[in-house]
Amino acid sequence: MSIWARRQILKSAALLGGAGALLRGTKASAQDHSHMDMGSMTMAPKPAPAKPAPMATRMKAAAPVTPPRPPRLVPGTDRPATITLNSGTLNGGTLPFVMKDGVKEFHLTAHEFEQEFAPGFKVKVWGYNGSTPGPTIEAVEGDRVRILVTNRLPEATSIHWHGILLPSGMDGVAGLSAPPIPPGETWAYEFTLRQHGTQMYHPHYDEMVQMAVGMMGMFVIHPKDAAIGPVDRDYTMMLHAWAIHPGTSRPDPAVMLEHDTWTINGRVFPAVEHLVVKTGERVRLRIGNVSMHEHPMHIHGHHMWVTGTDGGMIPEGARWPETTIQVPVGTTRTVEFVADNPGDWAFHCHKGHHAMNTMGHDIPNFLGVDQRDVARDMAKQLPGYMPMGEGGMGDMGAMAGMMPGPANTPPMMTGTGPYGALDMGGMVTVIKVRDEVAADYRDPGWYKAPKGTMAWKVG
Amino acid sequence: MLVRTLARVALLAAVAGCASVPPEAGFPDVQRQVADRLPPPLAQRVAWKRGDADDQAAAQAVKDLLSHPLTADGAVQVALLNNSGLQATYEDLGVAQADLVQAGLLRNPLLSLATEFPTRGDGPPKLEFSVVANFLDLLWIPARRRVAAERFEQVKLATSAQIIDLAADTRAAYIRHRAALENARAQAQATMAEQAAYDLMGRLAQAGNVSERRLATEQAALEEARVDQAEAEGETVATRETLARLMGLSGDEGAWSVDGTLPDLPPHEPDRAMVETAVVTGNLSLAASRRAVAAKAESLGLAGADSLWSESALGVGGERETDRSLVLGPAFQLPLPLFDQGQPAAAKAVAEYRQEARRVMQTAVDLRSQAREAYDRLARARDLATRYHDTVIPLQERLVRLGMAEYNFMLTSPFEVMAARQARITAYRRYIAAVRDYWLADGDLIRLAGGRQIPTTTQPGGPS
Ligand SMILES: [Cu+2]
Repeated sequence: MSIWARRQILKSAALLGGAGALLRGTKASAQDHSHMDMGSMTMAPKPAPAKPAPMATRMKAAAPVTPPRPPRLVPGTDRPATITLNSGTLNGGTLPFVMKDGVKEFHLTAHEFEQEFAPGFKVKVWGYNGSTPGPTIEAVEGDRVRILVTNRLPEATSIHWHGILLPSGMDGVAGLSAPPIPPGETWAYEFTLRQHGTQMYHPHYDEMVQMAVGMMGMFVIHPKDAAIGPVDRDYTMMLHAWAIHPGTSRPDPAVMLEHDTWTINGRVFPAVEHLVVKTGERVRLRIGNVSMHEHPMHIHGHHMWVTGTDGGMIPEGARWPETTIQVPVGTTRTVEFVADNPGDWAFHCHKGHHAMNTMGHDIPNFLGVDQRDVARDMAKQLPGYMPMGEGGMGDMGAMAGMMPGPANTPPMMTGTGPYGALDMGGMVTVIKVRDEVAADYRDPGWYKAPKGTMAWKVG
Repeated sequence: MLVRTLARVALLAAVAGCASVPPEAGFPDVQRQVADRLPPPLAQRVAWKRGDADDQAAAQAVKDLLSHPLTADGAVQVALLNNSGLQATYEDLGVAQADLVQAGLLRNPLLSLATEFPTRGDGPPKLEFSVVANFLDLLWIPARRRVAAERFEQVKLATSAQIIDLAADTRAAYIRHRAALENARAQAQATMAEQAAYDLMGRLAQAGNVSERRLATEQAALEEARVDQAEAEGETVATRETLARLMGLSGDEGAWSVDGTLPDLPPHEPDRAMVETAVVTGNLSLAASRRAVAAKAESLGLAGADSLWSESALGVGGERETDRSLVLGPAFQLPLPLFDQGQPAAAKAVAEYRQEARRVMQTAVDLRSQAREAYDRLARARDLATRYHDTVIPLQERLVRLGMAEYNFMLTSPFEVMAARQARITAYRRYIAAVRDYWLADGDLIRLAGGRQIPTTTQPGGPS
């Protein structure tokens, strides 16, 4: 086990704190985790019976780890099956549970913390167990689940289990289904999962504010029948829109449409983790959206089939192919594709301004404006003044590193690829399809186009 | 015989009283008085131009000073050597000195001659004659001399006060001029900034990206900046002419310029507790007034007697009869205090004395109040200048930097950053005004204290 992994575990153990102990009914012990071999995770080893709460220990350790990814979904077990992007550096990933009298008991703690949306871009958010979106809850159709919710927010909250069929009193609409959870209290939601599919969870108390500052998560229910829709790589991602005004660090919940920060699982490009896939593998993307905008997510180099919504799976004959899947507000979309085209493929929201970071809306339109001489006079008054935007904003990515920007603000366009500046930000990632991938699916680096398969200069 | 003897006595007395009027007329005393009241190099250069060789040296010194950019001290020096108004004041010294000499002289004896011709016969005419002198003058002369001496001292002090005033006026005019130059420079920067913004907006308009209204708005801002600049430049000319007048420059020395920048605030403030004492002890006008009171006091004893006895005289008179026989005898003349027994004159003197004394008190009250007010202006100007220097200007500069950081990331308009730049220039202009006001208040305090620096506190900034 690497020092890095150990540190992550220690960190996650510290983050969970009392919640972790509560989960296991024992004192959290970092040493226990450090004995674990990360490589064995996929094998779901039977722990020694002498160890207390072995299952919790195993589940707990699974949460913070990026590599390795499960090579194959094993439904119907208590083992996490999906890959939550960006879970590696946080206490995200899949939420651990303990079995209590045949009930899978999960524990979510709602609280405020700081999350780095990109290196140096720190945001004060509300979320669950130290991440936004909160850890993915995974269970299996037919499970009885109990979710303890501890409220460490300055106001009441509740959790609505979006799209899950359950008794009315468990639906989490504060004041309608049940009272809200006051600060400092822990309440339990308990129900039996009668369905399978991709659902979500989010507050239904002051939801405008609480969702604007990051309270949300995915709830994946695997089918009881493991033979239903097996895939090789199963990714969950939540899209979100934030109003983090330049130079600030707290999302502004009063903004309804003029959002400026667009995230996949609480990260902006290029900090969004890449998807590493082996050629020929079947890939599932479960995409959730509780932001105030719809997001047309576009895949390059492949066609994908829409296989499900938060209303359930689409019968095979009714599925349809897309290159852009519209993920409306307040739904999930599940798509699948076979990665049969090696290369580096962009996967991004097709709204131009969602594929970039903050840009001012009240700036003059400099397109086509010749600033020669004038720029020199401007620079005499404003040191460092450089004309920009005359020929478009494409040079912004290259300029981003050269000129100072406001504190805690990612450049509008950034990122560097093998052939130069990537000029993107926000809701963008890369699907890396390779004939050969390492056992732990680690990042293979940039794709090298075989001779004769890359655009060339003609004139 | 007796006539000759009397004449000789009278002559002796006259000679005793009559010293020749010294040409320097107390000017060395004035030079001594202001020696520690002007900055060291200047004290040597208070000169009374009386058409001698020294005038040439003074003229040369002025010429030398004007050939280089003037410092504040240099401007004061030129004024002290070249201001004709001040030179005219020096003549007061001559007047007072002459009065003093006059006061020491006995009144000239009076010779009276009368001839009476016989109406019958051809006998020789009868001659009556007398020589009388106001013998009581011998008693009054010392007192009268004391009065005149006081008056002379008073004039010397008043002259010194004029020197200090001129130095202070010149220094203040210099500060105003320097501040006006600095202000005009800053305003020129503001105009350049507006010009750049307008030009940029013009390019945006050319490209079809902004409306005519937006461009016209920018033009209006530019025009306003130009007006402000014209005003600022006018102020530099006005302040320069004020300074030129004080330096007594007639126009052919027009090429002079001033040096450097407005001096920074000094680290130490005059001690507030010392201000009023320094002013009351140092102020020359007040000292002159005190002398005036002293002079009045001296003349108090004189007044009644003087009016009563000024007509008394003692002498010798005689007659040559028609038979040519000579009769000779003492002559005596005395006013009879039947109606005027001297009280009105004495009362008048007492009233004048009291008047003078009251005026001194009022002057002291005024000076103390002016000193407090000047100190308050000084402290406020320092607070303001310090706030602009330490807080506001760095803040505006930070706003420009922060604005540029946002502009770099295409988050804000360069016109907004330019507005911050303009605010920084405005803040600098206000800082200049505050520094100017500080030095003006400082100059006022020094002027009130008769040119002497007021001891400073050890605490920078002092109480405020
Ligand atoms: Cu989008």
